[in-house]
Amino acid sequence: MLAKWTLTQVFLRSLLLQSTWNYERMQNLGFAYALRPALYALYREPERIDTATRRHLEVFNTHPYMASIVLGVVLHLEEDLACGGGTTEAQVRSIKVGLLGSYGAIGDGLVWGAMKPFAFILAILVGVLTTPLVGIGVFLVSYNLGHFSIRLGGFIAGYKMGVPAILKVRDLNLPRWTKRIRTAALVCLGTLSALWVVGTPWGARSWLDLVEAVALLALAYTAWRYLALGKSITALVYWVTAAAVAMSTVASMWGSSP
Amino acid sequence: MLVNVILVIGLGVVLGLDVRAAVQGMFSHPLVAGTLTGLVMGDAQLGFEVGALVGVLWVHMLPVGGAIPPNVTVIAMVTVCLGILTGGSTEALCLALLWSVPFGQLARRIDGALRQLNVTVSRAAISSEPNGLGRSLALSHAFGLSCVVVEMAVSLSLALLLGSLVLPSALEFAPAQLLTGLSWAYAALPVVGLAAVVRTLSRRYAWGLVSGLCLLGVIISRLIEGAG
Repeated sequence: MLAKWTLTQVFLRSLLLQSTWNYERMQNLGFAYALRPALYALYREPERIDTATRRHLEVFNTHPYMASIVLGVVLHLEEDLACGGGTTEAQVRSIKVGLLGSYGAIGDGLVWGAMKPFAFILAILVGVLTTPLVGIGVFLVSYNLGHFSIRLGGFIAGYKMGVPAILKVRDLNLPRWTKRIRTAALVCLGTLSALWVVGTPWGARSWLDLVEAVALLALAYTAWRYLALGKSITALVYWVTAAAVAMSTVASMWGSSP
Repeated sequence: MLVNVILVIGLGVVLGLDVRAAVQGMFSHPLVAGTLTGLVMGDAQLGFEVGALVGVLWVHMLPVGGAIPPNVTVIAMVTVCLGILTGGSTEALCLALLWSVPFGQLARRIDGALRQLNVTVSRAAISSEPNGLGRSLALSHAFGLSCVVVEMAVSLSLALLLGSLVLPSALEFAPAQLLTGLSWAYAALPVVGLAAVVRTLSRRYAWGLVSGLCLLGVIISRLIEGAG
């Protein structure tokens, strides 16, 4: 069993997983660097530590949060390998390679595509209703609760359970949670849109803001259709500005004509 | 104000580490970076609003695989800082936003170049002497983190230094129609942001749910006001 301090070192180092991301072997340096204290404790002899570290300098790339689960499982297997418990080097490699793609896809959808927008929209909603600092407090707390649950929980489960932790993650059905979180984010977004329409100065005094809401939603839908074509948001920002300047120029010429 | 700008650059350097290199706990998210920049510059509320706008506009640019999205931390911090320095009006904020976008792209380019440079670092670590592997890994990480510090410092310093020279004059000499247009554009950009968020949260019923809740919210608010 590895000491708690060694495990803490591995976990803290895993937070730097992406600092040496490269186009050739991606997160290889980060993964090997995170494992190093544990390999040092497990193998003790310099040659064996070196061989074990080099084993993890191969290509590795997955979602940075999900990598903690892989790290935990690999640590469990390395411990078994060091004690001569039947695990082979090939098994350690194949577990890593086998999890890369699927964990990358699950993590991207869940974290970047659901957790992040949900916490963000919720934070704007809270910030609008209270104060900006409360808003960013809610954002950081709600997001990092999920973030560290995946990272720390995954790392501990991976190390304690080994390969069965992968089955445990599968049973969690994370893609279903992704859909639920996205729906919750859409509910927050709809509420925020209503608050925004009611809060704008030109429609806040009459039923005209219902017309305004329909017009804004129609414009947003048009922008969504444009983005759905794969067009760049940066270009759209400049196009909207150019259109607004053109409209204001036409309006001023209209106003100054006799 | 110079002290505040230097503080913003320092803050950006620290927050920039969170973008990719360390933790990734959303401390560098535009909403947080924008609000903190606003706090340093003396207007947290404006920082929050700009951070929210930048956040929704670029919400669907995800760092999936090897993709590098524009550095929205730089965009948010530069927009808030220059927006406040030039008066904080909507036209000033819109101009600051348009100014900051190329610097967000510059930071993205630098990040791409650093990832290429890390290939050499990785090869050097792999071919290191048996006894030097641990040291080599530690040094490569120190190098990776230092590069991110340089990336943020260069992008923010250039954007803020040049922007503080160009933007005040641009706003002073710009024709009235241009300023009105910038103001209108700034009011319209949240609509684009709404579209970007719905695109990110791609669900079949997304538009129905958002539109329904929005219209219901407006109707309820009218009824409450009418009853009051």
